[in-house]
Amino acid sequence: MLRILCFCSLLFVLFTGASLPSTVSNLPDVKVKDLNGKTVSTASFSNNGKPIIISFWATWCKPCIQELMAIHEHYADWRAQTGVKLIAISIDDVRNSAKVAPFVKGKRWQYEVYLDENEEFKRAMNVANVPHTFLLDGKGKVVWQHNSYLPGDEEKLFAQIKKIANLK
Amino acid sequence: MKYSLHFFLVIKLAIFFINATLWAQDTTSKEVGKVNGVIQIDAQSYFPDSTIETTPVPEKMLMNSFANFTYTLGNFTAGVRYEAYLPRPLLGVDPQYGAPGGKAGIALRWATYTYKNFSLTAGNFYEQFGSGLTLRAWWAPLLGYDNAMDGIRVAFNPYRGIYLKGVYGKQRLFWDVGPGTVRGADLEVDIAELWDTTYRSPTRINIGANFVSRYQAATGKIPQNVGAWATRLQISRGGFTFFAEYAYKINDPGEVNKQIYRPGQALYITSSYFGEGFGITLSAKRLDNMDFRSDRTQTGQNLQINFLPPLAKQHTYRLPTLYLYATQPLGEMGIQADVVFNLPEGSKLGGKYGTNININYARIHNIKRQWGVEQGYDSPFLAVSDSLYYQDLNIEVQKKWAPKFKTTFTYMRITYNKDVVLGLRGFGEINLHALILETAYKINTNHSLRSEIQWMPVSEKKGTERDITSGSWVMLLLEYTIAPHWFITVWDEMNYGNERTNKNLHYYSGMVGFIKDGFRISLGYGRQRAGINCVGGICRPIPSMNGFSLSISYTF
Repeated sequence: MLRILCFCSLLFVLFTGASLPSTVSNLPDVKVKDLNGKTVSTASFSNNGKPIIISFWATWCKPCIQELMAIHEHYADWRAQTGVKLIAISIDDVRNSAKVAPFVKGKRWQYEVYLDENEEFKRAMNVANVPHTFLLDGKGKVVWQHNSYLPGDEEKLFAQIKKIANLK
Repeated sequence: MKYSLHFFLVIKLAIFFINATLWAQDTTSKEVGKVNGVIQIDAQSYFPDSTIETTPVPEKMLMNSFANFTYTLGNFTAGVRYEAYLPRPLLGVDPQYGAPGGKAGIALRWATYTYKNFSLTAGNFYEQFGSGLTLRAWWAPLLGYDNAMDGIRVAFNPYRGIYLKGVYGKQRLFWDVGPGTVRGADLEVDIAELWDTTYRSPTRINIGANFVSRYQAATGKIPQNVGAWATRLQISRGGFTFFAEYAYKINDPGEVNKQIYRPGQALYITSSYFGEGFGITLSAKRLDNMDFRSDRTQTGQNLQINFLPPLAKQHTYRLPTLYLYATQPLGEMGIQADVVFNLPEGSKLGGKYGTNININYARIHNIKRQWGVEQGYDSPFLAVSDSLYYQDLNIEVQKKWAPKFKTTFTYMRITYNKDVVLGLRGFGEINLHALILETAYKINTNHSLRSEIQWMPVSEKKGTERDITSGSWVMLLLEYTIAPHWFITVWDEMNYGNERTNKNLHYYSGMVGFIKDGFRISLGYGRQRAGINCVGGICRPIPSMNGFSLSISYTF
């Protein structure tokens, strides 16, 4: 147990000291499907030089839905201010994937949603668990990421979006 | 001591890798490529606690961990996965991952080259054909499930709207591969894309077909090459979508189907419609003798080639996860209806901030069989047996009352055939209700308080068996979060009215966690009630435990 605690404190020192630079850049090229069944390559995600949020979620994941609902409340505002686009990647497998489109429309979400049924894109992005959110700058480079969701995280995300939108 | 040493070595190795990666970050440039990855460590200590009937763990502490490293240079990607189970896997995960004395090393390695519309992978890979009725190689690390293939995978898009995939290889079996070889090809044609280059056609039609064959040496009249094929159709227009897939498998006598020569069949149909603020999904499924493995002598979660998910809502609130349903690949028929709607903000029913409602119903039966024929049994295609496996009616109402306050109310009514789902005897049919109230209060921009009150009255028939989790349950959970870094959660699950223990048993726990960017760590302490981990139609028991738990994940 002592070793575990030592290890924790070591990791704390390692990770809390400095802000970690994110190195994932220019998205991996794997195939996902849009809600009409069309195959789309993840390398083709773009937003005309404006920032993109990529949010990994699932219909059974409560914090994911909490996060997407929280962003939904501000989304029109965020778009108008920064031109940001949110791409929601559902990792629901066949058990739930047919429910994704009705689920999204039932909640009136305006996001661009894709199905990653066998978690190919999730693995390519090295996501351990959902929710996991990435922020891409206008060049498609990951500049920020966040694992899990705690209420209020959306404010931090928006601060990051504003930062990169202004840098342009 | 030896085990602790192993554990310590693994951690040292992990730190070495982290450092190596940080170093790699500094030297990243277009010429040398880049390294990305993810590390996950889950450790648990086990204290003996006779009140909750814990399983003795002489090693005192167990750990599962993995680290994926991916190297990318232009069109080329290569990766390895390091895994460690020391001194053996966590309770609830198949002990064969640990072998005697613990196991750590490179479990997977692969290289992929992608050029324009062509992609080739050598080594380990995952794949899914259609909805997976004939083939799905996938990975669920927390459940200890991994049927990765080891061989060659090709994906080719020769013309717009035409997608071809081929796989050839063996499947992972813990630290080895199974004896059978799996070969398969899948074709999907997106008709709208094929005809209409602008993709503006309002109607989309996708058709697909695949063939999968497994070779495993055998003697006598047992087929060595077992073929399975499937065909699928998806039509969508506006808010309407229809999907159907049918699969057929030739006779494949094995351990799971008790060596019968009957061919297998599967049909999965789902249709959905949505408008703004409204969505409905209806699905139906029939399975008949569809267990398909790359080794006919294997059982459990080992060497499964196909994927047959249950047609029921995936519950995630803690108490009802005690009664998770798992698909019965040998035969079941089920239907499901799911309705989602939003009562808009400002409306009479929706209130000032709007209300979201989800209603879901699922019912799953055994198929009707007539035994005694040469192939084993006979079952007319749509014949349903009276034997009920699972029924679930649930409703969820999510309402925001004020800018800082919202609630989610859930009600469930579940009938669960414990004997069938868990492969037990004497427990019979369990009936339960669950009432859950979740509240979330935002104190200020960063501070929030969340609570869950769960009540699950369970009724069991007189004279049936009881175990440590029988009887009814109440649970209370409190969570305080400080965005974007901290969370602290405490909860207590109380078991009452259990004729076996005859007393109220408390399972209290606490957890504190820290998150920064792609890094997450949590440390917990407490009692954890027994449960089940269901994947691939099989539920593995997770015994009760008492101790510390540590979980770390890091994406870089």
